[in-house]
Amino acid sequence: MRRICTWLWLLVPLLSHAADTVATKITPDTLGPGEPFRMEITVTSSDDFAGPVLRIASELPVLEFIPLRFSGQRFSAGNTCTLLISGVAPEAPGEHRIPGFTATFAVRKVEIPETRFFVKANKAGTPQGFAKAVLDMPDRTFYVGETIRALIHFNHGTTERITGFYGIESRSESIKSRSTVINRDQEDAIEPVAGLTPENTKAAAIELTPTQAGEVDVRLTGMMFVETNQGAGQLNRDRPFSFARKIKVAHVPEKGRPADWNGAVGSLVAGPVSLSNAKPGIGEPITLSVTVTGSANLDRVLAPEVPHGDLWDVMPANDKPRTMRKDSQRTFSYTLTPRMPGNLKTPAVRLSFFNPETKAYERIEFAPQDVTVTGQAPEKVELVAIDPAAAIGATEKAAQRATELLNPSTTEGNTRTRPNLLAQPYTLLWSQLGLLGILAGALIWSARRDWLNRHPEILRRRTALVALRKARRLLRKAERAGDNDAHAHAGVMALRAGAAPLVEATDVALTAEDILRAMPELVTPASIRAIFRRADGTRFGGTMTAETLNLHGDIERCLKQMEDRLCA
Amino acid sequence: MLKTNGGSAMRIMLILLAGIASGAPAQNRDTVAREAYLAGDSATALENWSALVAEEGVSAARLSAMGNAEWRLGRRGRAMVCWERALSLDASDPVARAGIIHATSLGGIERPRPTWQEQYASALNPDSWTVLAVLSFWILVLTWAWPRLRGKKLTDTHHKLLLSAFTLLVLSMPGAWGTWTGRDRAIVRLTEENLKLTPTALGEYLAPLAEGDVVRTQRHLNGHIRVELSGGQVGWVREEAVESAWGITPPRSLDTPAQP
Repeated sequence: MRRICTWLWLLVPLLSHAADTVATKITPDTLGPGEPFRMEITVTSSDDFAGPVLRIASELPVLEFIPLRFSGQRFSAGNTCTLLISGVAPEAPGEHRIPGFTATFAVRKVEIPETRFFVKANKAGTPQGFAKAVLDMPDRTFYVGETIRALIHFNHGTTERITGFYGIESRSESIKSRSTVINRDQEDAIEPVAGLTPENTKAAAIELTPTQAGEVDVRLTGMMFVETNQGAGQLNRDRPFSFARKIKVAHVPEKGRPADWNGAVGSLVAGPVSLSNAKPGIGEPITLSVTVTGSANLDRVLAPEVPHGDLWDVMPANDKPRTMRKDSQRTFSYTLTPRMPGNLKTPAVRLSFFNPETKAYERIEFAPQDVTVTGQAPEKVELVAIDPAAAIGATEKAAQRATELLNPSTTEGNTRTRPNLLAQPYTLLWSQLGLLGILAGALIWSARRDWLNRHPEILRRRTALVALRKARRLLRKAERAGDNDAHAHAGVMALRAGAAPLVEATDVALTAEDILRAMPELVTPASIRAIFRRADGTRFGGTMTAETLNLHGDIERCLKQMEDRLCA
Repeated sequence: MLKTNGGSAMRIMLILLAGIASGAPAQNRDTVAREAYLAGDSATALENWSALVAEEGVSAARLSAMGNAEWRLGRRGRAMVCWERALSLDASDPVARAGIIHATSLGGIERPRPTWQEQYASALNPDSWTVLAVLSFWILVLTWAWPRLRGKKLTDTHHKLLLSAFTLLVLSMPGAWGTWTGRDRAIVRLTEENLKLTPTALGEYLAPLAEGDVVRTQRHLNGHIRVELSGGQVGWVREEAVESAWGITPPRSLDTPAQP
């Protein structure tokens, strides 16, 4: 029993949950636009904190218009801890909220609830009273690896003056920031924010480099020294500022990306080219230096590659250490060794970059320099070596052969400027396929011709069909013109032409009865006989004046039947 | 092996001067080049032979001679290109053959072992194999098709012709195939080049390549070309690092020219 009680006594602190009470107070109670405030978060716990708050600086939310800074903490008796946070009210009047966050202590985490406060509006015509920082950043799509140059303008206000700033840093995982540069020299040249004169602003430049694509949070924090004029004298304080923005970041396009692009994003200009010696001897190294200037991520640019050539041996480029070079330029130095004598030009150095303004890849080239190389090209190797271990007599033969090979008698004759046939295989292939196609066409035509010769009735039917259709057109024309003679003759001609292949006879020899015998299925035999009489009657029994135009429909039906039979 | 004395140097100088004064006609240029080559001035010899190539075109002998001069200047890649191209024009060119044998046996150059089809193809010039294959094919086809076009039957003569053409075609196919596969070869031109696992700038290193090595080429991708080394290893190299073994021009210049 005693042992159980001891275990329970030990486990109770672990099983029980410490009860925390959190109270937040903002001073002063009523805030004006841009006015600094002090927030006290009092945490009362039933248990000991066992140490200070640990990561509060990084746990505080970064807000665009409400910069917060952890100032310190105070422990009181009875397990009470007060977190002191200084902040600045936003410019916009109305109710604002500071989102809840977690404060991590040595042994546990305490959830701090959200805090709401109210900012009253300035009276109309009241000048700006408090110092503030404004972030000036281009509004466009940025690219991964690009160096974004942003400006932070520090506006003094009417009753305060900013004397300095420090600790500007990015708290985004996908943004890398470079150490802040204070533009003391260019302070007057910076465009002031609307409504402010250069005299009452300071500015800091910061370089941001996005490292991933998508919608990226830019979260910047920093501190500024503020000097306040009070009745008793001047009061110096530091005050936080913060910015939270979302920017769009894209990868540089793959389309049109040159093979030699090595990460440069921005706008670059080819600077001067210098040569250490314009008249070297053969094999004597010289230094070619090229300078690139412009607004780009020059720190991240790799030296352009200049490969070995037939005339030059090229050593990889050297670059000045970062501490020795200007921000806006890079100089690459190549060591070149001439391999051949004569008037040579140094290899061209090219650098491709992606221009975010034009959204296109561009290239700069440093002009080749004229170099006069003196001396004679050294003979490096002999062409043919004689095997010293060769059999007796073989050495002389080999030497003679080697001499022959080394001493070409002539290189003239049998020259050509046409490449080998297989050097352009597709030309050869398509020409052969074309010829094969022509041959295949000829063979198909020949086979068809033979087949038609074996089946003459097909040809006769086709010929008859053509003649029938021609005569039908004449028939219709005569019917429209009201010409009885022409109508009768065209009708008879069409009937004979259509029936000829059916009875295997010459068309002019056919009579109406022949046609009716060949096609007993014709529905209007009387009309056929009538039109034959009208057409051929004059040849046998005198002038015929019978009207046949009224038989046009019957004849047409017959001809249609004939045409169907011929096409079957 | 070759030594230059003062007399020959003087003679070369006189020939050079005479050539310059007379506008250096082609015959003189060839003479000047050969004399300079014999005197050990390979650079002058190359200059004159290159000018001749630009004027008249290439020949196997001229490319071979240029290959010799390039080799003596230590430019192994250019020399191998010259010799390989000389063989692509005349497969029996002795100078180019000797140069390649020398380069592979004593010069440390790696060259893929030719397949049996390629060895077979080396009996004739590449164009001869192509012409032979095409000709025999058309004789075969036309001998069969022509009587049919004329509506006649095949005679004994036709059958003999068919058999001859078919035999010729069968015999020429390995040669044409060997020519075709021999065409897919290239020479490494850069001195510091590596075989890479992937066709990218940051591709993983696989093996070193030496200037003048001959590789079998396969497909192209992303500015790289897939190659097979003489040892059978396969990987990617940059396209600009190699030059085709076939062509009717001297090796290309690797020096980066200025943009026009």
